[in-house]
Amino acid sequence: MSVRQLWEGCDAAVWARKLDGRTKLLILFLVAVLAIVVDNPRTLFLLFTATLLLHLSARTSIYKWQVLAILLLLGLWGSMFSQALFFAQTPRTPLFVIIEPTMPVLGQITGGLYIYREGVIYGAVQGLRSAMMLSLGLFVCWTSDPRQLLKALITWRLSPQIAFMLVTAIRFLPVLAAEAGEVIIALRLRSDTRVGRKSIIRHLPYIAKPLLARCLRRAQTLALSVVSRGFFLATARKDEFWHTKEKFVCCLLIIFTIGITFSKIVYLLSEQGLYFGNLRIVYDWTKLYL
Amino acid sequence: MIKRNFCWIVIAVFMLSQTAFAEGINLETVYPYSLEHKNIYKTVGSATNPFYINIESYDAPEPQDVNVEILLPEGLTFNEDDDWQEVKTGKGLIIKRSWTLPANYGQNFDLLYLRANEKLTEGKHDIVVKVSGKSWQKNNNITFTHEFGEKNVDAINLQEKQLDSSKFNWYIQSVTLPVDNLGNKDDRIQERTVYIKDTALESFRNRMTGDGATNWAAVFNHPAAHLLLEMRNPQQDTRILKFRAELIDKATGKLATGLCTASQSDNETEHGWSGKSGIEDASTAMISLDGKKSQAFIIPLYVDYFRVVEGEYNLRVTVFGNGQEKIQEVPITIAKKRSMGLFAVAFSFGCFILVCLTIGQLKKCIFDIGAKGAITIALFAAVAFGSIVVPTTLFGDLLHVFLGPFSGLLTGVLNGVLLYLLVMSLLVIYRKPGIVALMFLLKWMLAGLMFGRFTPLGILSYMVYIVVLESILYISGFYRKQELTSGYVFIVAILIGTADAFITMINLEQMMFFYRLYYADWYIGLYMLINGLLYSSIGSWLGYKVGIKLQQVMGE
Repeated sequence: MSVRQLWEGCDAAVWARKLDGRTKLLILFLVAVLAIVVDNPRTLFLLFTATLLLHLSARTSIYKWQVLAILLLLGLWGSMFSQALFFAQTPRTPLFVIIEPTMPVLGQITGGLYIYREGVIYGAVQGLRSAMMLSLGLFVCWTSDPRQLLKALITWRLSPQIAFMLVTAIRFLPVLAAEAGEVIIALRLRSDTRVGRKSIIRHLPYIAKPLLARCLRRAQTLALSVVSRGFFLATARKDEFWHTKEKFVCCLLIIFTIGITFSKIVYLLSEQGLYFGNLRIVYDWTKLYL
Repeated sequence: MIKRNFCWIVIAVFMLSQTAFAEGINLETVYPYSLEHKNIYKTVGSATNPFYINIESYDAPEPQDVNVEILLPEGLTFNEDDDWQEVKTGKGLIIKRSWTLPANYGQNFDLLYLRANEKLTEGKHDIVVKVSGKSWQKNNNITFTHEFGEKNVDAINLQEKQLDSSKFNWYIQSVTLPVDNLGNKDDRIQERTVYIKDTALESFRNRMTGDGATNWAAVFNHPAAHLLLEMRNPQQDTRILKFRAELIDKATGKLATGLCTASQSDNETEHGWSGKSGIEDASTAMISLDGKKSQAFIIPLYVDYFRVVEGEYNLRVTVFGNGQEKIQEVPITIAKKRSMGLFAVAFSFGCFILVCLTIGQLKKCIFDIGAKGAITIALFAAVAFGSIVVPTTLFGDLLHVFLGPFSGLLTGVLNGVLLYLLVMSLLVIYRKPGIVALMFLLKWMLAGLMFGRFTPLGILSYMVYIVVLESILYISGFYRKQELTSGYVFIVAILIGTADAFITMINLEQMMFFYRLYYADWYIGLYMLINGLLYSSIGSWLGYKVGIKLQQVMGE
């Protein structure tokens, strides 16, 4: 499977592909809000599992599962690594000392750098938030064409000019990639380096100028064509049909997310002194599950 | 006659010399002694009360040895002390010790604990104190009244159990925190939680200036919390006790850092009397039991904001003195107020609202630059997406495996240098307000459409980029300048770098706030310095150079 095929949603289940772009974007956004609001590790894990179940029901291919697994593991590892270093809660048990506090300069600046055992676990739990968003983001990405999402943005009153710019950027991504390759070949031919990764890295700093010059020339040609056809000044906006069922699910999810956010906020306020006796059930519920 | 006069002269000289010696001594004795210097002169029941003795010597050319004798009435017993010896006599108990008074000026003082037993009759009693040197003697007489008082249940129980009553005559009833400075507990505030202020910025400044020190004056003017210590004193003792509060690690049971004493100072002994007390990682105080059955003390807890770590602890409260020690441990939570995080989030929301309000200006900008300009921005955004977002998404995580949080310093070359190179070169070609906003908006939307990255944090982060960079360019007069000179662009590049350092801080604080992550203040500083200031300034400068070349292409 090529990299291009990897980011296309042609092999996903029909129901997932047919879902409206607005539904997908809204769910993506609301789950991102939930990922921020929820603190309970069990609930976070449940939400993460739910996003994986979406992949399962959308019949994500094995290859994509592998990519997803690698990205998730790398993301979780990153979170565990950083939190193991910077964990600032007690109890914490240092496993290794990276920089001794007594070390000149670095020790003084950092106050010592350790790997904390509890930080590893904490990082894994907090990493579930980004893992959840990554998993759902890839679900949306693998089950939709960028045009579908763009259409959703346009129906949400995205300016047609910005939409046009977005389409142009997306359409010219492969062209720009090919041009970057051509520029590298040209630079390599002009110099005496042999073919290989090293030669590409060596020429990378010189790509920008020719690539951007080509962008400018292309923009000039395209602008002439676009203006002559009157595309750029388009103002018409067509309201796309949104299935009632999808709308209903989205409304439910919005209410659910607002409810959860509200209970979390009032709970946090109660900790700061703004306490309301009537909301005790909400406080208890939030403490147990959120 | 002469003989008689001579005798008188000798007597006068002798008396004068005695007076001269005696004048070099001040003897102060108090029983029962109170820390608040209350004149109590009364003892109740079988209470233990402190006896205070202070010998002040002055004008003495050499050190002198003195003997101190205290004659106690019958029924008053002395709690053992290594420095004092007791001798039983028919009149009562005599306790004595010897002291060496220093030359010139000195003070020798001690606190003894005397306990009344059932033989001490009700009424007035005297304690006679004698201090004698080689050729002088000073006496003091203390009169106090003893009352039997009402027999309380605690005292009866203690006697019935025949316990070592000296060990059980006072104890810690409860420890309550946090309370205010008047000892009032606010039910709305979570019990046993100490909130401490956010010192990220202050700490960063201190580290950068090399001080590494706390503003101790601020710490001591504002204790992190007050603690209400309730002491029970069934036998109505009067005592001077020491209080110590320490944080104990729950997992290891070891002493944890975080609390400090009010004598803490970086200037050691230079300022005032507060030299090094030898007590570290503890808040200490002196308390005085005034002979009440129950007494409450409001004690401030001082926290070293730069060393304390959030989390769950046991607060070990130790009250000790005169060979006795009572300990109580209570679980507490130390929580930090995330004021920087709140500021970052509030600032981001402000930026979001500002962008929403000025969205019309963006449309105007698009029409001003025309189709050619809009397509140029779109293509530049596509280049930014392909060369920054794609590699950092795919390979950034891989780098994270090996470099951990420091991988950002490497991927920052793309996020900093390359991004600002593109932005600045675009600005050199189209110098209009709104260009930066359009570029960042498109980059974010591309990441959203291609990788499904429509997150609240992403939106807020890009809004901060747009508002801060547009503001800095507007303020620096970049849009109004007729001609861009190298010197001027250099300053603008530094300004953009500084702005990016600020944006980096805001974004990291937001991440810490929203995703409950921890980053050390020095790490944030490092990121601001390298990814923010250095990379972005270099990128902006390179962008200017590339932009000048691209202007030639525009003119073709």
